[in-house]
Amino acid sequence: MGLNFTHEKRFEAQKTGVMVHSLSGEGRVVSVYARALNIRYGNGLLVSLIEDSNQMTALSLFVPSFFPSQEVKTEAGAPARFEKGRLWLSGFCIDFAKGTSWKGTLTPGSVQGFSLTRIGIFREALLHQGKRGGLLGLIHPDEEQNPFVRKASQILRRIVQEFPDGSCMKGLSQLVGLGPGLTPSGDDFIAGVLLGEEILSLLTAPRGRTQRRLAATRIVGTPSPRSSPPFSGESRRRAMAALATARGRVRRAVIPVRVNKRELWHGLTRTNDGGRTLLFQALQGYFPGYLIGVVKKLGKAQTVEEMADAVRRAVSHGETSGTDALVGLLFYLNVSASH
Amino acid sequence: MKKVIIQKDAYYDSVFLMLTAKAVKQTPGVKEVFILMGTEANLELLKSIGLSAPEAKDATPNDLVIAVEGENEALVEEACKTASELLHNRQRRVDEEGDYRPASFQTALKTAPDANLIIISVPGAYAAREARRALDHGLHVLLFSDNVSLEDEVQLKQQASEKGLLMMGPDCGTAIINGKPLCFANVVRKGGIGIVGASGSGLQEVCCRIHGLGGGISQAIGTGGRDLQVQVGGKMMLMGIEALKNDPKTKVIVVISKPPAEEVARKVIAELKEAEKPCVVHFIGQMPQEGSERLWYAADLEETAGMAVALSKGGHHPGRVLSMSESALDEIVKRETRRMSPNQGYLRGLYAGGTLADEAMILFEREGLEVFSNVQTKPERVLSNPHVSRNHTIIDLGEDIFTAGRPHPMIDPSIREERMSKEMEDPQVAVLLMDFVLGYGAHEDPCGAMLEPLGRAKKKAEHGGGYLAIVASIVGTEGDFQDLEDQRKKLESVGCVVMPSNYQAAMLAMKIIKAHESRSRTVPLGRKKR
Repeated sequence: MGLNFTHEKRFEAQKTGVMVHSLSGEGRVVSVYARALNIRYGNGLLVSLIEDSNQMTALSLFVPSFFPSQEVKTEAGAPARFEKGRLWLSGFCIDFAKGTSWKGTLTPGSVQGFSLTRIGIFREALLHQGKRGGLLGLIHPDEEQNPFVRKASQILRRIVQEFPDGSCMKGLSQLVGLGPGLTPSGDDFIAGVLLGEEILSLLTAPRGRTQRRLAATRIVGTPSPRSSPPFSGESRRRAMAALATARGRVRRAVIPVRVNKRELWHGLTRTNDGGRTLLFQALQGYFPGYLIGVVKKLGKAQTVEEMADAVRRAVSHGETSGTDALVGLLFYLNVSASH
Repeated sequence: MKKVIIQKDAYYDSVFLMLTAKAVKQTPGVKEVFILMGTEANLELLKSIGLSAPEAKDATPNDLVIAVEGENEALVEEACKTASELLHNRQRRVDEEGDYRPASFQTALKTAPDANLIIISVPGAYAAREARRALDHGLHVLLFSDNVSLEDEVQLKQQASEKGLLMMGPDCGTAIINGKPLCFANVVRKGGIGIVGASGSGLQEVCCRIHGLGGGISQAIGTGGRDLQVQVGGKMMLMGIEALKNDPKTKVIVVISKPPAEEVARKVIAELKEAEKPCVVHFIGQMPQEGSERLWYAADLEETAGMAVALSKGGHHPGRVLSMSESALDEIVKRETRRMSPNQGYLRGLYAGGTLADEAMILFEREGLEVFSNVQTKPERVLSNPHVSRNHTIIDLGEDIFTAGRPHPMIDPSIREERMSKEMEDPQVAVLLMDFVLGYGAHEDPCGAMLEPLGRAKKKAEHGGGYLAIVASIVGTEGDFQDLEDQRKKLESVGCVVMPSNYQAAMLAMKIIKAHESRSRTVPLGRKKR
C-alpha cells in the first residue's frame, strides 16, 4: 500500500458510526472537501470523516479536530486502511475505538407522538420549505417539467396502481440512481420511504415478542465486513436479500404497507457510491442523523411552527437530499394512510 | 446532432449540475443539455428522451455524463467544451481557495483567532444563539440570517451596545467595512462618505450611485430593516452614526432607512444634528423636510447619493440632474408608446431588490397611480395572491413567499423569469420595470440570463398586436466582476431602455404609462379617482 506509518499525526474520533467499528481492510480516499473526507471501502461503500456531527451516519467518523488542521494534507486516490479500531491514512491515523458509538436507528421513543393525522401539515411545510431541483416536483406544480420528476412520477404512479391490496410496495428499485448529483434524488427518496416504514413499524408493533424478533433480525442483519467486505459478491447480496425477506415475514402482520427490500438490495449495484452507501444503511434500519432528528421533532411538535421548523432543518441537509428524503417519507405515509 | 462525453469519477452536487446544464443550454442553437451521474436510471432517462449515444455505454454510476443536443456539430462541440470548463473552474476554485467553511463557532474561532468580526448565516432558529456567543467573545457581528424574532433582535442589540460592538442585522445583507465588501456588495471607490443603512438594496444603490458620481465610500454599515422600529429603538443606527462621527476617514455621514418610527426618527435626527460633519438623511417613503447647513434631507436614493458626493467635495447639491435631457426622454417615450395597442396600459415591476421595489412603488403613488404589491403598506392594495398581479403591480421577488426553498432572485434569475412568463399572459401589460443587481454574491450574468425571456416577452406582445416597453436599471459599478457596461449592452440588445438609477427608471416607466394612457384615451387603468 505504500503507507508511511512513521511520524504520523493522530486524531481521535469523538463519535463512531456503529458500522465502522467492525471495518477491517483497505480502502481509498475518493473525495476531500472542506468539511468531509470520503473513503471508498471494500467494493463500493463510502466511509466519511466529518466535521459536523449533524451529518452522522452509521458509516461516519466524527473527527472535528481533523478539519481545521493545516498539518494534514490528503487527496483523492490516497490509500487507507482500517485496522484494530484505527484508520490509517498516509501520514496520519484516526483512533475510533474510544469514540462514542453512534447508532442511527429509530427507537419507540423516537417516534412517540408521530401521527398520520398530521400528514397535511407536514406536506404544507415541505411544499413551503423544500428545496427545488430534486424530486420536490412530485408535490410541487412548478417543478413538473423537470425530467427526473416526470420519470419518478411515472414510476410511482405505476407502483401505487399495482398494489391495490396494500400488501407490498414493489417497483421502487426503478428509482435507484435516478437524479443528477452526488447522491441521486431517487436514492434519497427511497431512504425516506424506508424511514416511513420503520416509523410505522415502531408505531404499530406490539411490545414484547414481535419487538424482540424484529430487534433480533436487525442484529443478524448488521454487516460484518471484517470477514467479507460489503458487496464483494453475489452471494452476499443474496444473503442480504434473503434476510430482508425474513424480516418482512416478521413485520407483515403489523405494517400496513411493506416495501419490497429484496429488489432494492439487488438494485444497489445500479447507483453510485453515495447512493449505495445511503441505501445499504437504510435497508437495515440505519438512517442519517438528520432524518432521525426530523422524526423526533415531528413527533414532539405541538404547533404548526414547530413542524415547519423540523422540516426546515431537515431540508437544509445537502443540496436536495433532505427534501428528496422527506418527499419519500411523505409518499410512504400518504400511501399507508390510504390503506 | 448529439454528443455524450464521460468524466471518470467526478462528483458534483445536483443543484450545481442542473445550473451548469441550464447555463450551457442558453447558448443559441443548443437544444438540450443534461449533466448527470452515469447510473442506470439516468442513462435510461437519456435514452428515453433520445439523448443517448454509444459513448454512454462506458459510463459507470460514479462517472459524470454530459449529454448535449444542438443544431450542428460545431455548436455541440462548443457546448460540451463550455460545460467541461464550468465544471473544471468549479473544481479549481475549490482546490485553490481551499473553500474551508468552519462548521461550528469554535472551529471558526480556531481558524481565525485574530478576527474581530463574524458573519453568521445559519437558519433563523439558531442565529440568535450563535450571535450571542459571538458577542460574548467580543466580536462584531454581521447577522445575515433572517427569521430571527424581534425579541431576540432587541436583546442582541442591547448586549452589543453594552459591549460597544456592532450588531449588524438580523437580515443584514450588505456592508462595506474598511473597504472590505461583505455579503451582497459592490466594488466601489474608497472615499470620505460613510453610510448607515437599514436597507440592503438601498445601501447598494446609494453606494453605486456615489461611485458613479465620482465619490467614494469609507464605511457602509447595515443595521437590518427593523432597527428603526420602536422596539429596537434604532440602537445600531445610532451606534453606526457614532462610529462614523469618530471615523477619521469619514467626511460625510449618510443615513438611509425604510420608514422609521417617529420617536426613533427624532432620536436619529438629533444625533445627526450633533455631528460636526455634514449629514444626508433619506427615510424612504417620507417627503424630505427642510434641511440646515449641515443636515440635508433627500427625496430618493439617487438624490441621497448626489447630495453626499456634492458635500464630500465641499459644495452643495445643485438639485436633481437627470442623465438625459427632457427632449431625449420625450423621444424615448414616443418611441416606446408608438406601437402599443389601446388595450395595453398596465405596469408590472418585477424587482429583486426590496428597497428598490419600495422606492418605485412610492414614486408611482406620489404621481397618483394606484399600485398593488406584496410589500404595500396600504392594506387595500396588498395583493391577495402575491402570485397574481392586478392592474399596476410592483413585486418584491425577494420576499419569503417566492424564495422558500430556492435562492434569492439576485442569485437565481429563474424566479423572475417564471413570473415574467405569467405576466405576459396578460395582454394589458404595457411596461415591465426591473432592477438588476451586480456585485459580490449576485448572479454571474444577471442580465445575460434574462435575455431570452425578455426577447420572448417582447415577441409575445408583438404577436398580440401590441408592444412591450422594458425599462431597467442596473445596480453595479465597472469594478464588479459581471462588467457593468457589458450587462447594459446585453439589455439594450433586446430593446430594453436602461436608466442609470432606479429612480430614473421608475420615472421613465411612469412617463410611458401616462403618455400611452393619454394617447389611447382609454378608461384610465388603475388611476386614482379624484
